[in-house]
Amino acid sequence: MNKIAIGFVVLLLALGATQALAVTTKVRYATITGTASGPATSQCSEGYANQCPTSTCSCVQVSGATVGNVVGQPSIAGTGTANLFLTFDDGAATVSAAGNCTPFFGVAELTTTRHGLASSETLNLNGVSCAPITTANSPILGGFGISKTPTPVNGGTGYGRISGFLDPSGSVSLKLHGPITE
Amino acid sequence: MRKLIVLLTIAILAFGASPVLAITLQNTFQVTGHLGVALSAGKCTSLAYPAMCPSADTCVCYTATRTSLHSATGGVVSIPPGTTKVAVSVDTTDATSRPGCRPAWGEIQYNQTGGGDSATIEFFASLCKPLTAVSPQTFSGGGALTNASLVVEGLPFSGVTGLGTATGTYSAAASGDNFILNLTAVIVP
Repeated sequence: MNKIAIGFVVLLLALGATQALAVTTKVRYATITGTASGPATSQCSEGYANQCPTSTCSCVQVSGATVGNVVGQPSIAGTGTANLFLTFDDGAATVSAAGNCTPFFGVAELTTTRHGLASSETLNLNGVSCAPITTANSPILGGFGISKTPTPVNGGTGYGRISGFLDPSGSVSLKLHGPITE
Repeated sequence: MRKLIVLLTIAILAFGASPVLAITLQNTFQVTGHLGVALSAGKCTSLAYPAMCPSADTCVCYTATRTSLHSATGGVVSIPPGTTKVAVSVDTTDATSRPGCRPAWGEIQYNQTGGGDSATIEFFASLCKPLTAVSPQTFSGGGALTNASLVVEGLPFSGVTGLGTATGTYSAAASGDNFILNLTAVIVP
């Protein structure tokens, strides 16, 4: 009888472990908020951000940004912090009397806790930041992907869209969502 | 100088959607329709902004030319019939991940048939693979109306500029609506 009970417990544990390790792909969400530095007059040197197609670029950093979740939605990375490096390709800005839109290439280096485990992963970003259009904030739109290098620790794979803004005081708020496998 | 917040119908029509237009005077316009494009290897070189796709990378060129602009009126901007050329260079080397989102440099040029109206739009966008198994590709970006001669609220203006952001979806479907564009813009006549 004891052997049966032990076997049953082992089976339950095995099933539980399988479920915990199950890899699934679903649309997941994250937020990144922080305060941007003043632009440095050259491209950033970190990974995907280290590119400047027109050779006229500036680098904006968001150090110690907060990584969060979207209420009611599956999480990309859990919660923690991030360092953002954004290279703005000023030479490729589209110019109008109402303001400019400037392409950017960036990375977000995330250090978070997800499902109780320490996690680190780097997101590659590209998109555009425009002068204010309908509010006082500068809209940011683009896409992201989870980089293979450096290798994510307790991280996922996937990509998605970015939307957000930079407000006049320098606060950055980004929302990311896309199909993430983890 | 007066700022008019409009739906940049130029861009919508310029993208060549055979429009089932849903235009309002709000900040955001939505256009759905069928966008047929031609694809060729290498970056687009016929227009300046798409030629910015880095030479060191592998780029592909999407082009479209449409003449069905007669229905491109709405809001405070009037768009007479004309020819619209669209060129978009997509950098396939520099995706954020694989699959992922690729940078794209695009330009739209519109010229009125038999008239002086014209517009040039430059934009940069991130073109992402479908977010779900049953959804189309998505794009998110923004750009500028760099120079235009247009009729705004019945009055002709030259040197019109503006900027806007856009999100949307695109699929390569041969028929039916394969293109949705949501655009928010400000123009300065």
